[in-house]
Amino acid sequence: MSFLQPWLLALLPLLLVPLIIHLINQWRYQTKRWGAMMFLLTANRMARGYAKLRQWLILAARMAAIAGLVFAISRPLASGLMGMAASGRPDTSIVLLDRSPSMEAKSLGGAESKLETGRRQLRQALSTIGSKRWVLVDSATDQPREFEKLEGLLESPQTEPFGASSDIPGMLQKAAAYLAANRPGPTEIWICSDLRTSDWQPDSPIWSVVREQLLQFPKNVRFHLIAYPDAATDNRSIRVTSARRERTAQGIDLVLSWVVRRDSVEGKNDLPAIQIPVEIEIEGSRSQVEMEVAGPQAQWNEHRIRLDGDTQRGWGKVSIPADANPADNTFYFVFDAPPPRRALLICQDDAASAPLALAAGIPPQTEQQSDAQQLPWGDTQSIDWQEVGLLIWQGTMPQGDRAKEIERFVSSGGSLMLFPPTAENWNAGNSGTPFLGVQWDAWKPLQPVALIDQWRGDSDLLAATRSGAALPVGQIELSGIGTWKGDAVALASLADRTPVLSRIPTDRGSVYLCSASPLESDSNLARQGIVLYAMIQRAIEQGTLSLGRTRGIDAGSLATSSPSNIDLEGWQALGIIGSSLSSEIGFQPGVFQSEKNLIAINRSNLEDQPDSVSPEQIDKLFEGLPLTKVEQKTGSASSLVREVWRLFVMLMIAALIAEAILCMPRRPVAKEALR
Amino acid sequence: MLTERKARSFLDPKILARLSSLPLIARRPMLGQVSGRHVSPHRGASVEFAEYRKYVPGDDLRRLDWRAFGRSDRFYIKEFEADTNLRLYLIVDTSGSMDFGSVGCSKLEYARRLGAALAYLAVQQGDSVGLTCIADKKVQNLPARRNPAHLTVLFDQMEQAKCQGPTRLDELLHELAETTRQRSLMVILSDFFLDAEQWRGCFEHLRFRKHDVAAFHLLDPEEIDFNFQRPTRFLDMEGGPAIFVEPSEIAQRYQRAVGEYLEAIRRIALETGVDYHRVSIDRSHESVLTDFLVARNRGSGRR
Repeated sequence: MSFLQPWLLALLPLLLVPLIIHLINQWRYQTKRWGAMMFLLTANRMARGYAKLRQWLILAARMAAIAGLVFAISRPLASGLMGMAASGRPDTSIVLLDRSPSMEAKSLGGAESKLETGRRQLRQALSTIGSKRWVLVDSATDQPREFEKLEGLLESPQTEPFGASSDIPGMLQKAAAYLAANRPGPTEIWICSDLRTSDWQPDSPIWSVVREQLLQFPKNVRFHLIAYPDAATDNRSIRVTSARRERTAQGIDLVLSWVVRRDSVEGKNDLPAIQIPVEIEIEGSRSQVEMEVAGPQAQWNEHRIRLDGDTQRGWGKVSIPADANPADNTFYFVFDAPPPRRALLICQDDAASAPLALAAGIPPQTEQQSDAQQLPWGDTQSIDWQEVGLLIWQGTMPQGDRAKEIERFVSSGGSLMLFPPTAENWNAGNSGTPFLGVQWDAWKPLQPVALIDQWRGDSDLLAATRSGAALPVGQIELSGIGTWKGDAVALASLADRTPVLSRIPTDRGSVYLCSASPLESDSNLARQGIVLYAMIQRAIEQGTLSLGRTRGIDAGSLATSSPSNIDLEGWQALGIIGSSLSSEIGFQPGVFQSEKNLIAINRSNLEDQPDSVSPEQIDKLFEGLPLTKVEQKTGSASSLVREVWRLFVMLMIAALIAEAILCMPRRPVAKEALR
Repeated sequence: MLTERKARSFLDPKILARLSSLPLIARRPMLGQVSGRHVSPHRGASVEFAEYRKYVPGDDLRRLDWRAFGRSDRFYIKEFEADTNLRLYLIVDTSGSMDFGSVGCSKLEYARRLGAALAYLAVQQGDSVGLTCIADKKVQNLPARRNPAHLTVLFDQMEQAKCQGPTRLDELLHELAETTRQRSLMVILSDFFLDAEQWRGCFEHLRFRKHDVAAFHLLDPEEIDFNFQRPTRFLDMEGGPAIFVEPSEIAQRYQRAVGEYLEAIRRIALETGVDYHRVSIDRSHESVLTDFLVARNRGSGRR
């Protein structure tokens, strides 16, 4: 039980008033000389049982009436969040609203989404409890905003749904920063979320920092988590996995691939097959295909749509009919003519550069332009990085400013292939410098020649061809290999697990480490040619993607401080869902166009994953912090907090009535008859 | 009639004068010493014919009914009722509870008024009057006499009676029933604060001794109504333990107990032939006595 005016509970000692009055009444007795004692004795004997009980019942009823009055004026609250407002009216209430697309899910047959339910329940609860100051941590900017009134907070555009995932640890960090800056009095932090892993990021290192920050505050900061973990019933989502423009003999085609996911119902995976109409809209013109979805996921690959005339670039969207969550029924895409495939070669050994230049210079399709430019060793000053898709670096690891330039290139999405120095250059002095956490170790001759024993044929550079045929990786013979130290994922390796081709993990862009030298004396990479050509062309293709004038990005990712940060100010919105607030551009799904570029913004892939944070994880994340959790159903009409003073008034009335009944004199004896 | 003009608080000459017109009549034959106005169990020389009986030698020939002899040739003696005076015994309970009174006079004072008036009336009509005051261990007994000077002594004793101790009237009534000559008028003035069944034996004993028993049950209005508001500590006037009670809690049961007790007393009086009068002492004793005397007059003439 909690109270809005807990200080009025100090009146509870008034409960003793009836008792004290009773005792005073007993003390101020009169003394009477009496003759008819025999009747008194008889009456006293008769009165011992029920009369004593009645006396105590009257006393209890009077005390209950006072207790009811005191409790009623203390404004008690009843809710699932027992003890929610035990500290009374807080000084500051901070609201953290998860408005990710998954919060737009509705219950079966319900008209209210999780977000709407949360806002309504928050409005009821917070208006009941009251607060001196209202603060909303904007999930778009993670910045706290103060409001004068609760209505202003809950009706602000910053509480409307948007397309990006929420960053709960980040929002909590901002809330902690706000608390540190303002040092308010008793504070309540309300978190309204559906507990999706994508929003909570329980593995994020920020959590430990946030917890440490919040633990430094005195105990008058309380956390209330209103969770809506119920899964949407039979929800479907659509996501375009690729959209590319392709020129054929008949004309220009848009080749679309998409995937449709279905949420399993209460954990059942054996979902019946259903037909879903998928509507494809390309700049206003619509077409529809029927797609059969059996099981939790179905993919549609290479759907070709003939484009008008000589369309260079454009945008569109695919959508499925409305279901439990309208936020994941549409996906935007953009397409463009492929940019020129440009590769740069910086080789320490001229002999090694020839096969690499040859492999990089021949385009895989006749209509594509491909350009391989060879630069002198170490010359990175004259490079226009904005036009380079792949940088092939053969020799000792780059260092100094050169290394930084190349790192920036990689982080902007470009591809980098590192080849080892030739045997003569191993001892030149720079082989041991680390670059991106990797450094060449030693040249290892192989006698007799070794073959590649294992490689990843399902993805990445050595993946099988589109027709399904595997690359002839096993035919590569190596007579020597450069070994390295550091962290990289092997894509191909010898029988003794010496990696031949590895991928260095990066946030963006691709960095490949090929331990085999293309020199004729070291391997047959150049002579065999197919594998080297496929590797380099695929690396060019990956790097070229970042050069394209069209991009698909996750909502909210523009706000991150990546090198690819794009300021969308001045861009034209071509299609947008939800709020078009200028501050939320980049967070709402849609397509934006500048003079040359097109950007499609969609929800992140993680939003389609129904994984939730478990209660144990929540407890662990808030370990040591005063957290109250309550799980609510989507569309639940119940209130989080409800004033129940009426109950106590009724209790008081009942107690008074009971007291009156108990005090009511019995039918009087006709005294005249006794005379 | 009074030899001394001593003012008595319990005597009102005006009331006595008004009551003088009403005779005190016994309900059954009395045994007196002299001729009086009451019916005697014996045959006497009054003018009221009683019965015939056969002549036996030695009978007074003057009472022989010659007319009957002439008609039947048998000797019959004509007998007449005897008229005698009565012995009135006033039995006053002077236990502690008789000292209670909330209407300006105590029950004992009221008993004095009733008893003195009855004594005066009895002496006035030639009856003899005795007095017995019964307290705890003290019994003041005044034998019955009929001379007017005796009244002064009786009034003095009545005036000197003090209330004290528990009620032992029941024990002494048995004693009086035995020690008093038969066929007397016994007037009991008491609050009868004992278990009702205890009085049954007393009354039956008195009746067995052929006494005409009249009982004035004196009750204070407060004892009946029990109108107390505050918690009260009641001190027993007869020396018993004190009781602390919440009157509002107990009043109803008290009144029920009083009601049951009074009903039991009334029933016992009816069953034992006692002339029972319940008297609330806020009532004028004149009216009580008037009712008493008038009721007795209505029943006169029965033998």
